[in-house]
Amino acid sequence: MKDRTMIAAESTEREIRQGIRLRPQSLPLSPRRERWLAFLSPLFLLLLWEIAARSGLLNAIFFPPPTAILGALKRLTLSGELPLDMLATTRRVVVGFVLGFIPAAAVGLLMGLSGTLRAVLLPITSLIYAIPKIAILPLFLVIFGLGEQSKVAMIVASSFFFVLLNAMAGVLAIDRLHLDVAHAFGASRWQVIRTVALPGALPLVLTGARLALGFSLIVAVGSEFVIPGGHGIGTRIWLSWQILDIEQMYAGLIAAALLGVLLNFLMDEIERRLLPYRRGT
Amino acid sequence: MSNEWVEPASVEVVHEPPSPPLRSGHDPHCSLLIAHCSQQFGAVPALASVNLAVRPGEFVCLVGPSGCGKTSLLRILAGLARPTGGTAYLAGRVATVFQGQSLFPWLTAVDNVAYGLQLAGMPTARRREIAIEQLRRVGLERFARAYPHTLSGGMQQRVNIARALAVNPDVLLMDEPFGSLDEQTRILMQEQLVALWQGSDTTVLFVTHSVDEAVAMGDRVCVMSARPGRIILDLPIDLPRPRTRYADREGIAFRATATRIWNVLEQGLRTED
Repeated sequence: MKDRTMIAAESTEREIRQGIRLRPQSLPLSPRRERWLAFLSPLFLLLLWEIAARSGLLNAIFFPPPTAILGALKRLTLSGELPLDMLATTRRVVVGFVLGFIPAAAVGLLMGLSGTLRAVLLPITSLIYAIPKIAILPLFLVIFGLGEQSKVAMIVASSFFFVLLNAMAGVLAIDRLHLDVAHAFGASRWQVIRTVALPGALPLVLTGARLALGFSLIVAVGSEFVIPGGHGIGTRIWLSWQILDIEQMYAGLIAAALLGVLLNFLMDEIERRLLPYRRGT
Repeated sequence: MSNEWVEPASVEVVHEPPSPPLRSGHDPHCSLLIAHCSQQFGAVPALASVNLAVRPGEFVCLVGPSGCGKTSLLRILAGLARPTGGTAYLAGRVATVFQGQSLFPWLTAVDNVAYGLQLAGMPTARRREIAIEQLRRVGLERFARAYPHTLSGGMQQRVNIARALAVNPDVLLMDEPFGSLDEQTRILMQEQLVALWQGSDTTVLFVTHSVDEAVAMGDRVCVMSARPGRIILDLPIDLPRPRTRYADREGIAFRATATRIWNVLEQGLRTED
């Protein structure tokens, strides 16, 4: 007959064994397995979609089978139409973004540096910032006409305020101590700006730039819907709606996603180069 | 909190030819002279008529309860604040070591150390050379290219000191530079600082709230009262150096000195209420 302590010891041992058996499941996946799963799961979903669309389980008018979309994508790429659309949208985004970024960064930094300028400009900028930018489109159509200028102006307007407010916040977020250090070392006003204010504000300026680029793409596609003429991913998607070419529409969506990923990658690379001290933090 | 720019250089700085180093004896010249210096923040008086004269090459420690205006006094000397009354004179070049994380996170250690030289317009190659030499003096030349966040607290503070020493200052102002360090690192840093100072002719004004730290390092210890701060004891420390190691602090003379300062500190605290 076993006494109580022995039973207790045995059950503890069983628990430990179970624990050991259970543990691998709670551990994080190996990187290799994770990569395979990340690669396979979308493929599996696409396969399900393909089967569902072909078998009539999914309405193929709304959700054409992936192979059909791939066909449209291939056709539009080989004909050069989709690359031209992507190029046109990218050009607009980049031109509009740069035209918005440069004055916004300058004014934003100055607003961070000068309390007077901030007091004068902040109420107006906050107010305009609050307007959903797409709501300004009709106004721009009146001013710039139904063409390229309006599309670019929309991107400039949506980039401007993100960059401006973040640049200002960037200067305001600088550690007081760092300003003291500069002053204590006898820095002139300009030296304080160049050696502390600019590098100190840079992380938030880049955050503003990242937001601005993201919204630029949204606004670019939106303007291309409304303003006819020229190439553009928005134009392509809108046209597909008008002629009810759903496969082409999906091809346009894929192109838009690709552009978004590319812009994000571009910002990652810029941040990596301009903020080397942030690496691995 | 307002983020307005502080007008720099509110202290009258008298440039004198560098005096020969002096550790003892009498010298008519002062490296640092504070006369009837007072400061008021609104209705709150922070400093009440502080007087202090420091000879060239002297190491003076300033102790006092927190909030007594030690930092206010140092900010006045560093040119970051203007006294409400009285004057402060500094002879020659001044450099300040601040408390806390005052290194620029976007600069590598070597560029942080070279910062003062950069402001002075020294070419990059030359100032890096000097900065590396300063890093070597604090034993961190291997970390020249490291960014501050990758360094430990003690290492950051050594870079901080190297940054101040790189401009070859006549007067070194230090505001609780070891306040955030652990006990062991702190004692090690005190030892290294005294060694650096002994190899130079720099005048040091070291603000701390630790009596032991003050007695371990200073030629003189000045005690400030609670707010509004004024100097209530100016005590020369004649104990033999080195006295930074833990064992040095256990001697009777050291303890007696520390106790004497503590007693004055306590009195200063009680006068407030």
